[in-house]
Amino acid sequence: MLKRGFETLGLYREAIRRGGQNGLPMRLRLFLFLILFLNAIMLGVLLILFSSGVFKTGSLEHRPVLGSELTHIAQDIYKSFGTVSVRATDLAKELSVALERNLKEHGSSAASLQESPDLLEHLLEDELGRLTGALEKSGASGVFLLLDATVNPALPDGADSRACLYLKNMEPNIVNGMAANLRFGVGPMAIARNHGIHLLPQWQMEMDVGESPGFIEVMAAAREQKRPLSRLYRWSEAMLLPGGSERIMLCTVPLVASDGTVFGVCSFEVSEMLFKLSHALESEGYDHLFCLLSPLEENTLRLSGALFAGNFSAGPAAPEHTQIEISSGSGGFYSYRQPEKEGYAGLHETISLYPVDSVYGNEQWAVALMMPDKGLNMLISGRNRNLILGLLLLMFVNVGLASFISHRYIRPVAAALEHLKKPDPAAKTKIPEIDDLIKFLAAQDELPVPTETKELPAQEYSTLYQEFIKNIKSLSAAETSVFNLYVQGHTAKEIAKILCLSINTIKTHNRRIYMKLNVTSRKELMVYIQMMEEVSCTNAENN
Amino acid sequence: MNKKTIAWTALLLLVLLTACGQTTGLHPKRPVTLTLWHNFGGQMQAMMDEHIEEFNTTIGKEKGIVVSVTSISSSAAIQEKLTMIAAGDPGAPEMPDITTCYPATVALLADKGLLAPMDRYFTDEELADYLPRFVEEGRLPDGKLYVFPFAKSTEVLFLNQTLFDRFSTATGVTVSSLATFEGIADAAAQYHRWTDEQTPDIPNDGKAFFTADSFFNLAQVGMEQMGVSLFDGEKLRLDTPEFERIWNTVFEAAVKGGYAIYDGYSSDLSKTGDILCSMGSTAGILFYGEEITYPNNVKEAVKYTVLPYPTFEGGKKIAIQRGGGLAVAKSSPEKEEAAALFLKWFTSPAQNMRFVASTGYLPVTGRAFANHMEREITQNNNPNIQKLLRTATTVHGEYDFYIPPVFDAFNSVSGSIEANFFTIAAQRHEQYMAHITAIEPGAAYEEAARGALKEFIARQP
Repeated sequence: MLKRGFETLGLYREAIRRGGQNGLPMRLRLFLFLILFLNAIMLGVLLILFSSGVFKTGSLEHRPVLGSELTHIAQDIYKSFGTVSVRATDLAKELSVALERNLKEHGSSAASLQESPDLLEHLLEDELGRLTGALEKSGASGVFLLLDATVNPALPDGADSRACLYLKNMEPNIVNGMAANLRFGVGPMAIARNHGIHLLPQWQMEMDVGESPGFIEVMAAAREQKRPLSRLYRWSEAMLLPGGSERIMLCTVPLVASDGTVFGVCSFEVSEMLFKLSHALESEGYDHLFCLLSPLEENTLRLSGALFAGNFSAGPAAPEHTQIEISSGSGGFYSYRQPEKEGYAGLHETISLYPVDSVYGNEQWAVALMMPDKGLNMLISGRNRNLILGLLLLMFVNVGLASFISHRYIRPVAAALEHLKKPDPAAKTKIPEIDDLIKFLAAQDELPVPTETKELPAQEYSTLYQEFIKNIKSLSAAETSVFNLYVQGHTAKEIAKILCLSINTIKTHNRRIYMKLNVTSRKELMVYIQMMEEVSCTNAENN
Repeated sequence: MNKKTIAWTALLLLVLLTACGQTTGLHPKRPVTLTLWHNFGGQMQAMMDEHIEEFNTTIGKEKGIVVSVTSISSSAAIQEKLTMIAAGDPGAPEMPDITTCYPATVALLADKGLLAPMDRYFTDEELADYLPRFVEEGRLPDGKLYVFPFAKSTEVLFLNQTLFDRFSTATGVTVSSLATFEGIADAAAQYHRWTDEQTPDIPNDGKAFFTADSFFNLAQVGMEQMGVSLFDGEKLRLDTPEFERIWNTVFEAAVKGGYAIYDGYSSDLSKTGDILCSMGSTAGILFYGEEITYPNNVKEAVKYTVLPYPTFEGGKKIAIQRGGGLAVAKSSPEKEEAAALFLKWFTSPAQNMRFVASTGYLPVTGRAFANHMEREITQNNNPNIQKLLRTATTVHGEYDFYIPPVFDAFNSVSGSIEANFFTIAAQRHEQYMAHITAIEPGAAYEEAARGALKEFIARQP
């Protein structure tokens, strides 16, 4: 095929070189016709593709895929965060009641909590079972119980120190029959030792609320606004706890005694690892795609407070944990920009983490799916590149096919034409029209030679005739017999009869005679024989 | 159709079939995801995450490998789960592709045909770069390497130098006395007495000086130091003078209160200043911060010293070789090859030293020990890790290493020894504390310790 293609190109070059002096060969004519025909079809296909906007739909094609993924992820996050919110509120109600009862049993109250520092460890330890049970049910990665009091208010940092119990589940994503794998992050050491819970390396006895102000803010809001606990919980922005190594979000609910005293908080933690494992992206082919849950302020996502999830390869592609501005982009995507940084394209939708009448109902959160601009461009251009490559390949195939078909079609015709130059009535070209033509010409060849002959120039006449006479001597005996009978005016059939040979044998003799005498047909042979007779008569008259 | 055309058509079909069919081997277009369990929580988790993310975005992306951490747990919890998997227990989790693992647990998994030996994925030259004692520990009796050396450790002595200096000034006990177990026991007795004297109005409230993370490890190494082995095959040699010497040294301190009887990590006690000296894995270094917290929430800045593993007087310098490695689950050839590539990358000297410098584990290759250790000691920002690496280098050069045996019941024997020592020591300590109010300490101990070793030996299954 390739060879024929080169042959065809060679023909092109030759045809151009000859500049149409002799006209185009049949094969080239057919090749050009086929190329024109096939490429016209391909051009039609291209026009249809252009008019239907296929080349423009690269980004539009990804929009619904990512839109669907975003809807799925957002619903998933809404459900899991909603569940944690409900569990945290339930836990806060239980803890409020249980702690108040416990305080009462010890002759104290929520309002006078700070006056009983010796009681704090006991209060925390009594709630350990409730906290671990709630943690296992919630699917969160950690649980806090913080009381608004410190064991040693006289210390320099006593104002910011709060009695606290923080338990972290090291495998929140593993669901099996085994007990949670807990670590002790904050709390009196005696509780950890009494219950055989190993410490986290960053263990602290109490929580420094100066570095984690969210706890205090939730208590302050609860004191200001008397609402149900379900309207008082708050999701913190993602943060690192003092000494911690992993970013977390906390759902914090105030503890409110029956007299309205706010005396602490409880929280569930969602760690970045849990978020990453729980909300892994399922869209294949989007290597740099990542998902984030972020605080939203007008047209800005505050990424310092966001949790990220996505393919591991998305990690380095993710924006810095500062903030990113949203604007409308192309192809139905939003554009996300950080100053002097690479841009991102993607989609986002707001997500409700609170009831509408929550104290924090005005805090907006968004779930976003995004990838670097160049990632999306690669996806789109990759698709169009494949389409264009496909069309180029099709064009190449067209050339090959045209070359192949023209070659296959013209070959027998060319062979037949060659055959006409060297007639062999026994051979068949298998092209009925040409076979008929050969038969016709053969029959014509057998007809009696007309008497009038074409006048040849004297010189040429003399030279060719002399050559003919000279060549007669090269005939074999059998050929000479046949030739002599032709001289006597017999036809091929008569000669066959006279010499008792088959007509095919006579034809074979004929071919050799023609070849040796350098004639191309019986007509030409008979012309020379007639000339021989004329020369013979002339010689006789002269003598 | 001539022969040429037939040949071209056949070739085209072959190419198409090859392109459409399933192909084998790693390919970036068809990434293989490897699940990984490890026991590096807290600060170590950040380092692990960083390493894994770097692998995924470099070699992993190039070769088509994604490592995904699906569990971070304590080594004990991981071993428990792996044991469940090996036993086929109902509710057992799915076997991860790569897991941190100890030789004893590996034996259980390998017996069930759940592990892939790693020899075939490493050339002899590559394996020769790893410290031979680490590689040998990972081989099972069939000679195949199932536990690839990764996070190896030894035990050292962590000393709260700040608190010890006060004690030393008052009593004259020096750090050099902590080079032997007998010296430690003596220091423990003095410390208990000294702290008791701090509160004259409260009798017998002396504090513990010392504890070890594992009495079982102490016993194994102690026996080796004295030239005998704790194990005779799979049986324990408890009824020997050597073990009795170990028992007496530790048990007396435990009963009298100088050795803390604590069923947890010794670093927990150090964090609150409840003990001064603890013996544990080098990897525990991150649990020793720069301050201790007293029960009234008062914090005190302290400095730690890291000392080589003590010996029994007259004994040889032998320390235990601890820490697990990474075991690879038997899986498809692609996953096994991908896991081997991850192991090679993770244990290459550059990556290994980054891991070592932030975790307290020991380098696993000769090149890392020879070329990177000294530079890391001088450049590391964490003074505790600097001290640890210096001591680890000393131990690496001066000590022989004891590698515990591998057999199915090893974990249960270990658990039984620890539990029985803990139970008997705690009971006898209570008895001692009760007797001491009535009789003099020597007699109280004689009374409390009577028959204790026999009871301990009798309790072993």
